[in-house]
Amino acid sequence: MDTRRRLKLELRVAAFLLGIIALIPMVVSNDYWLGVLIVSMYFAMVATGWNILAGYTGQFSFAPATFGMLGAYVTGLAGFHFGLPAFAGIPAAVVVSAMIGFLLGRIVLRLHGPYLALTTLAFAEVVRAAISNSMTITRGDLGLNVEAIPVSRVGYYYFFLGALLLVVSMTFALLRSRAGLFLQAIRDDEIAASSRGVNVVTWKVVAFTLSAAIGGLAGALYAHFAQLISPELGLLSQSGMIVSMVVIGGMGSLVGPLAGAFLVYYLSEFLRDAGGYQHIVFALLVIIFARFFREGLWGFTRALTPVTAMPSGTAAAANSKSDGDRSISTARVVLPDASTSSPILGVETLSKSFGGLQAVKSVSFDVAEGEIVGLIGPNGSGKTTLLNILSGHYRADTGIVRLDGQAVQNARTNELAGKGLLRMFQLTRIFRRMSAFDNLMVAGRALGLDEGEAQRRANALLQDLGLTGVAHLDAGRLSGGQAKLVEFGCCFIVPPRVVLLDEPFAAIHPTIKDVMAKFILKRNALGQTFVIVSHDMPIIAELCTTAVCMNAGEVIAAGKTRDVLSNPLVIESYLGEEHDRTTHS
Amino acid sequence: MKPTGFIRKSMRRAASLSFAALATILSGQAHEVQAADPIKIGVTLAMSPPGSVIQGTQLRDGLSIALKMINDQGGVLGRPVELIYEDTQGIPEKARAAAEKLITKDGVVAITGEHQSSSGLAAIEVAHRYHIPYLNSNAWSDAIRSKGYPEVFNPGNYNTRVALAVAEVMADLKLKRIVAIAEKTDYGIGLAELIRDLLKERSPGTEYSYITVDRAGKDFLPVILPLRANPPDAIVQLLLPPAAYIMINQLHEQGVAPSSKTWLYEASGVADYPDFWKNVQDAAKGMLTFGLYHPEMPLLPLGKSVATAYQAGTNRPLNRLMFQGADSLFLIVEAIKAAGSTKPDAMIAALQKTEWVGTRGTVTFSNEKGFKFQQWLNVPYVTLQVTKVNQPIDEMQLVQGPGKPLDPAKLTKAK
Amino acid sequence: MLVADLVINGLIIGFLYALMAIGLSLIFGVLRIVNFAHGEFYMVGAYAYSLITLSSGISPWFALPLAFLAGSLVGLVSERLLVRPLYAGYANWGFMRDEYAVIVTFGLSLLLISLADKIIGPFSYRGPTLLPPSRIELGPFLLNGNRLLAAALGIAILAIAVGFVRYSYWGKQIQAVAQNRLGASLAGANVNVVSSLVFAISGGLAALAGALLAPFIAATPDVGLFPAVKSYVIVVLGGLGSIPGSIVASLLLGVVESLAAVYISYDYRDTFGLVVLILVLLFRPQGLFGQKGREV
Repeated sequence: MDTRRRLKLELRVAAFLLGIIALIPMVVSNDYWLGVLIVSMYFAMVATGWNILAGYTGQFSFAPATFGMLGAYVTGLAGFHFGLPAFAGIPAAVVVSAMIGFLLGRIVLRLHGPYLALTTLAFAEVVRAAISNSMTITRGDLGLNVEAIPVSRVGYYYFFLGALLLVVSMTFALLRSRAGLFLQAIRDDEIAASSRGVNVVTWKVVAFTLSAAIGGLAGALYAHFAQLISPELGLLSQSGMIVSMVVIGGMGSLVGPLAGAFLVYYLSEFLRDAGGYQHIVFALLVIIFARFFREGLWGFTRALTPVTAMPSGTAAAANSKSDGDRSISTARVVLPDASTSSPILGVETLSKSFGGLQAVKSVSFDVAEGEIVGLIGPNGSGKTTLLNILSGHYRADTGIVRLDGQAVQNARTNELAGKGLLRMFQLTRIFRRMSAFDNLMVAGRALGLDEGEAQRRANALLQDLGLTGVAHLDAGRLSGGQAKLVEFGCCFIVPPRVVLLDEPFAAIHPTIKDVMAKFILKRNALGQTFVIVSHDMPIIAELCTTAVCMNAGEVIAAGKTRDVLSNPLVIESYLGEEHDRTTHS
Repeated sequence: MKPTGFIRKSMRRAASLSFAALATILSGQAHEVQAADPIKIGVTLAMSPPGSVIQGTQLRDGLSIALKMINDQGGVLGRPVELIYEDTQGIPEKARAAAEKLITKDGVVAITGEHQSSSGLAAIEVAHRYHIPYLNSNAWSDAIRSKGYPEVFNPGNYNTRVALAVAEVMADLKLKRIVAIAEKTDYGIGLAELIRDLLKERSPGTEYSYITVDRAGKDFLPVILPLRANPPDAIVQLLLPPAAYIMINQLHEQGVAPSSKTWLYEASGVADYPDFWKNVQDAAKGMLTFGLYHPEMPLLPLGKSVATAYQAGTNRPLNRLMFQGADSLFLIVEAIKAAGSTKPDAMIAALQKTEWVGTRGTVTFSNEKGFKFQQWLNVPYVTLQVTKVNQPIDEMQLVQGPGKPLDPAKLTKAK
Repeated sequence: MLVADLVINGLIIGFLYALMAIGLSLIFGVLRIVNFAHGEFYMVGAYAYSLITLSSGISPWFALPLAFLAGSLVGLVSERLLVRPLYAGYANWGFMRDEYAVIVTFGLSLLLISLADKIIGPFSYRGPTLLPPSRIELGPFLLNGNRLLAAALGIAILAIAVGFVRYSYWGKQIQAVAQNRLGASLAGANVNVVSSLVFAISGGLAALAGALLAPFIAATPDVGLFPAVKSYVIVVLGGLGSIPGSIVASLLLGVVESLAAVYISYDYRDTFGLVVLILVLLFRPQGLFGQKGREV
């Protein structure tokens, strides 16, 4: 399902849940159970914050509880040392937590997966140890007394509910905006996201900052409710509990953290009198959900919604036979005039080495606007490395890359995408947990289209590529060929200047190959420029006007495709591989 | 189209019904209070780490013996007594939540059992807010007393008493340089500072310093090695188990104390814990320790019957915490009896007037302000020296009897 | 002489850290996951050693291999029940591929701690020492015989483990799977057996560390937390998956902590390693000895 549609449904369920919670004090007056629900709301807020970071952005931090603790101590210490009242302490806590979240986000920017989890774990332990050992400032493990807010238990209850409502609606607004698309794109594939023009650095830091701010708010409220805070709030086991709440409720959904927090915390209180089995039950729940119900409680509801049968690759390709000229109207028409204008893409003495291996050696060539250039060469000749430099994934050691005459060798991938240089990868990179439609929306929104325009173009492109039937399926469920088409389509939602295609025709069905080839020619006719890496000589010969051949990191031939293909050096460089190629294709 | 009145009404009824069901689930076993209902008393204890589980267990033993004795005699005010236990893990935040749960959910008439000062300090705030009597079984920190809360009564030991004992022994031995190692809690720091103050009065020439360590610490060599490089005349141990055991072992391992140069004074009273000898062997030989129970202390008739019941149930040696636990519950029940009700004000008034013959002496509560507030001042104590591995407390060398000065002739210096 | 004392004690602790950490590193190297229940393998070893010797009275020397077996068994069972589904159906996991391992091993850690608390109880059990208490005077240094022995055994076990992975038949299979899981399975390596083996070895080594330290740090349900956190720091510092890196990082951490605790601050001793870690990652995200992978 599309992000937007799913989100709307989630908002309704979340509103329903919060509505029930709002009514509870009318039938439950027991201070204790209200207290349990208040603490559940604390957890629900922190869990929602962590879910933005981990569930939506894919940044698995192991420090959610740490920000709750930080928020609690900011307002607690401000009150304890400077007599700051709660109404000033709570905003201060939000600001300070957000600042620390921002810094953490900057620090861990380059870390992924286990490194990220372990480094945030280290951060969590440093903060906790600092608080628990700074006796003179924080009173350490003895705990810090915090002033109460002079309201009744029910007053606190609605105070927390208001904050939770704020957090949930802010999260909804965030996810509904283009940020929602970008964050999920980063989660599914960071490299692909930057190639589609998403500023990964900014949005990752935004996610860290917001998540920390929410944690800080929750913690600060908790401090004034509990009136005693200790470093226990930031224990790893607390973070683990928050993670588990989100997992049990359903990661990457608006409802999941709410449902998980209330269920887990209520259950653990309910089992309190049952002889200390609550930890065992809780541990088993975590394992069982992670093992068998990975999408959590919310996933059950998703499992109930019917999934459209997945059309096979050929059927989808057959659809594409229908004419798709509508998309052309949106494209900018630039006539090729290669002979007179300066080259659109210029490469001057580009070199790159990895350790001892020189992958690209002083490569120079020009691509004229409106050309389709074939980049060929045997395996390991440096084609992909060159493409990675051109698309900003690698920094060249020396040399200059010009796009429209502008030196861009130091530009970041997403900046290049913004300038109209787009790229398709050899191993398909799409956002697997977003629909094909949303995949295109990411590219459209990142490249500056407004929502309506992006939707219109995405639909037109899907139709051109024969993907309308699968447009709203998660892209991860598509066949290999369909997935390739989705990635291919992302390069065209905004008319590109130059498209770099790395092995677009490898291992796909001939009809899909045909769809792509026709599409390339059609777009080329509008003046769009292509650089295609391929081992498929017949298609290179058919599509490309000029070709560049590399071997061992160097350009060994360049010029008209026919001439390059008949160049003895080129033939020689391929000979060693000829046998290999025929057996594989 | 608007729903008709009937449909609207039945929808509303359905909604309120499901809501009532939800409320029942949420409030658990909400409906209570009948005539023969038991009187509920809350107990907060450390039943799992990082709290001192051993203390929790011994107190629990004493509480359940007293409970059985009380209920066998028909309870109080014709109602049986029921204890509701909550695990604090020795964590203040959990102790606070536990006290609140006991009062607001379970409706207990009093709380007792606490044995860790930081937890006690957190819980008395709750007891004070809800005005519920709080019998502090064994949290030693003076701060619990000096808050001056009328709800809080202290029949157990207190830091000043221990500090005085330590300071007197140190002064009597005429030691020049003393280092205390304290856990970083209200109990540990409070005690370390009291010893400093009392030593200043009793032995002004003595150089005294204290080090605080994390009670969850596992390796204390960074603290111990500098002491080995420059050994003091005595080391005072102010940690609770399990950190206390690790510290005693590592002090011995590194040859720091007890040694020919350095005395080891163990002031947390850990030598009578059932797991003491499981965790500490040779390291304890020569150690001086503070004790709140020793067979030379006279046991009163109630103490004897508690002791008999304890030894019938377990074959563990008698210990102070078991007696303290029993005392705490008896005191609450006596107060209910005297007040004729479980109303807080009546119970507190009755407790303030307590003059009750307990297991080891007659308990009364002082009304002086400060650390003596609502404290049983005459808690009996002794100083002992461990002379053999696996020595039960009644065979340890008594170097200072209850109410008597230190007898240096009975001391043996380690080789 | 305090400095030398501190360095020696830091090294002794460091070798025991290494014993913990290489198991974690091995699992990461082969399966690309971080086992958050690693500390609980240590806990199993500490309990196995202490309870077996205390209850049966057999020589602690026999309890050491039994502790190894107990740890291996727990490792093996965890792998079969919880970890195997991860790579058995890896390709089909559209959802929560990376998070699964973290969450499921965290759940396992919680389960083992609460089971130990429920079954064995919260009391601490200190294992007997391997030798009668002794102090060895080496010139100006006074060393505790049992600590020295534990470190020596630690070094010997490390050497055996490293030798096994380097030179034995199964060790070579492990290396092959670590380098390329798919390739190794195509070449006939039994990937499932290798994965089980890695978990068993890792569990066994952590358990041995627990057993060797049980005379100094008594077994409690949550005793695994501190060695686990140290191990995480060590493996990231040394570079995930690099065994030599883990060993160097362990010794470094042991010495740094020992010195810093005295000369900088005892209170903040546990944070030094973490701060060093964060600093290293700022400049070398792959750790001291880790290899930077090709991303695109």
